[in-house]
Amino acid sequence: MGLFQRLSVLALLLMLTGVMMTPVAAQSEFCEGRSGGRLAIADAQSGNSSLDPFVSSWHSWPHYAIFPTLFQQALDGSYVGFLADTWEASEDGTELTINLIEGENFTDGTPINAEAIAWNLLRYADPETGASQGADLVGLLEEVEVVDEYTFTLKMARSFAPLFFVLGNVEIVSPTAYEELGSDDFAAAPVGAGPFILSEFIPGNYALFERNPDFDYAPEEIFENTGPMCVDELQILFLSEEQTILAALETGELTLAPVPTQNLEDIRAQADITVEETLQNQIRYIGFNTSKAPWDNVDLRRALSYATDRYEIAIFAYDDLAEPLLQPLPPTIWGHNPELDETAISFDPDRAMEILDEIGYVDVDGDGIRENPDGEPFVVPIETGNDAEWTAIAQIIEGQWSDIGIQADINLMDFSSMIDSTTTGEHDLFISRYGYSDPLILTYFFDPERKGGSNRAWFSTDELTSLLLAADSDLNQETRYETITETSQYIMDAAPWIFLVTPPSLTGVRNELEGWQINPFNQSFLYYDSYFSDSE
Amino acid sequence: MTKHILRRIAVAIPLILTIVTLVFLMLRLGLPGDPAQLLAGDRATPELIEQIRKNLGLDRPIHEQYLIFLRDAMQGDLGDSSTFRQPVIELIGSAFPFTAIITFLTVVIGTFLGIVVGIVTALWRKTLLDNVTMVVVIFFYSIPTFWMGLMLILIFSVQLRWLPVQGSGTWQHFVLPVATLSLNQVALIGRLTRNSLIETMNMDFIRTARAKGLRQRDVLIRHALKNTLIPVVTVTGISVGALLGGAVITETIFGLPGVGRLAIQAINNRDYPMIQGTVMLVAISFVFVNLIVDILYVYIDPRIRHI
Repeated sequence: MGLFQRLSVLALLLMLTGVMMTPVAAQSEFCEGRSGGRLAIADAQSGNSSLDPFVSSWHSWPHYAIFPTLFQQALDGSYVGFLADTWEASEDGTELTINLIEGENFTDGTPINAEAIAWNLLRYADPETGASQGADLVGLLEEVEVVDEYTFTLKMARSFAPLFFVLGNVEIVSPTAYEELGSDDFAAAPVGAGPFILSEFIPGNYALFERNPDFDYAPEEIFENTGPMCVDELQILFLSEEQTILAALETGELTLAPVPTQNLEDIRAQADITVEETLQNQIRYIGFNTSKAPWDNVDLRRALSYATDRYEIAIFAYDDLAEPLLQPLPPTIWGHNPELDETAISFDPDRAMEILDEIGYVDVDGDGIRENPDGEPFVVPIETGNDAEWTAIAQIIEGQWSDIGIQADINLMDFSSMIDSTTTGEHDLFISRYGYSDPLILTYFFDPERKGGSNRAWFSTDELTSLLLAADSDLNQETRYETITETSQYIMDAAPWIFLVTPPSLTGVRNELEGWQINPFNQSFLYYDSYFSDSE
Repeated sequence: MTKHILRRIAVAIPLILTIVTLVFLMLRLGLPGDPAQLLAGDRATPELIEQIRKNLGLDRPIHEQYLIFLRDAMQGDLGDSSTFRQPVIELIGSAFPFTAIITFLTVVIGTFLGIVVGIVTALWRKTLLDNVTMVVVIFFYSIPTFWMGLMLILIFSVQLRWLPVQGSGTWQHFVLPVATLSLNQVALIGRLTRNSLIETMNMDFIRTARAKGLRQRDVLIRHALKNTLIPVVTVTGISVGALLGGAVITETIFGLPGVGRLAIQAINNRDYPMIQGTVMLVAISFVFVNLIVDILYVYIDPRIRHI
């Protein structure tokens, strides 16, 4: 065979290999006959954040589409490997060795290896980065030892129970792209290795993604389709007007969207839309500034808690779709213990009046309003956001408390102003929220180091700090659960917060989209197995 | 004329500078809410908030921040958005065309139809046509923009499926937002033109023109209408300025990525550079539009040339 013939055969072989390889990379077996279409999602919050995960304060649809993480939370609440293939923790929990899946690349062609992961984790752990998402790693992650191409060991200052949760949230970027572009340009052209690649981003309008043809490592424990995705495109529309969102869902411009509680019946009546009803992994609560008199008085705080009817709030502010809450963790976050509800402070106006009388808050002049122990009218200032949800909660509480002679002075403001006000220590009461997927959240709110930050109630005691530390360090799930129960009970007794409700999560999904799931532990919409029935 | 324009531009520069300075100070001294606190989120330690503040340059003294802002602004750099970490000038540059298109179409269509409505109702005043048209005009002028927008969506998008609900990709996406804003503009200009024309038609010079034997059409077009246009041009100028600043509600309802939405988003996120940028744009737009209005006055009313 001559040189020309040999080269011809080689070229033919290469072409054949290319032809055979291409469909495998572009489409999974799962998606055969199901491929195509655009998944369009409405989410206003997604448009309020940088696409640089080291900068953004929360991660949402666009981040999940572009960037992979080391772990993912499965439908049973456990953590399974995403970029991580196998892993092993040291006995004392201060070291975690992870083996990565091999042969995967970022979308810029650079390899996902131990060096790349170490670069990411150390950047999150660097206090100068100021990354909100990786803040847990600051002061915790001391070193990342690269063992070989795909193996590395995390060395930590102490054992940290929510480590898998944290590693399931910090997103992995291409270090090469980040260093070449710098933070600002990277936010405009982010490079990850997730199921989608950003193709267009119009601030204030939408982000459009196309399928990543090389993505093939979705966790088998969660998804039937390990990749690439069946849908061609993903579009996140940053819409905020509820009625526009509902109209777009009805006309099919949107595939899925949040449904406001007051529109539930209308949407349910639509034959081509399914509404998935769950509870959010969030709570609504009233916080006291316990560093300021008279809110440093635990009896007064407990009295106001007894005066608050959570069922009424669930009914009137959430169309009876929210769940009344009596403890710091909602049923949607692991660590919630339903047994605690039996002894919790619940609505008991007689008990509230009894306590108020005992501590000197009585109606001296007979005008129906109680005076404080100094004989001055007892007015309770409450700050909260100025949108419909916060206004409704505030009005209901104002009514409930006036029934026992307490006058509330509601101050509605934009939510960020309210949050800012809580960092001053000059505030009184505030109605707020949190959303999370791990009991670690309690540390954020009751850590003495976070007063002036996220400890908005300015509440901490040595005993509570010890309990929180124990809960965050305990690697044994059973004993950690017990410690969390003890922590919750402590917070319930000290009453720095009045727990109100767990709000509902209503998601309207058009029926032509099939194969989707909602993770009950973090309420994330899982679209990896999704496809459009009309593409069959 | 050139002198007049140059004088107006010379006055505009300190005006814009004053507005920008006031906004700069109000954001830092008056507006509650800390961008670093918002970016830090629920994990915030005071150290993390401080680090983010440092990364954003907010830890420097205010006068230093101001001088840096002025120096950069002179070079066309309005800084980076603290939310998106992209240059403000680029973000505004990508939002402005949407707002400009809506403004142009609204003003052209709304003003033209408004003048037609005004002329027709003035010429047939105190007739059934006048009364019915004025009721309709007052109706459109009175109803809130958001309600009008949602009604148009319900009718033309949800029921008839003729037009998209939201977005900005095709010409169809602009029909409902422009219709929403134009109806208001038609009502505004229609009422104004009618009243102004009726007033003008009763003036002595119109009587003189008629006495000279001019036809009604010539009296209307050559004499009356030109005088009527002065208040119409003034109001149209104000409308253009307001729309360029962002028809916030309309942009929000129809999911248009215009300057108004960008500004609201920036205020909610306490994105100082972005707020400053959008305010500068609005201020410059107003000054520019007023300048054009002044020039138009000169052409409409020759007496102004001699002032």
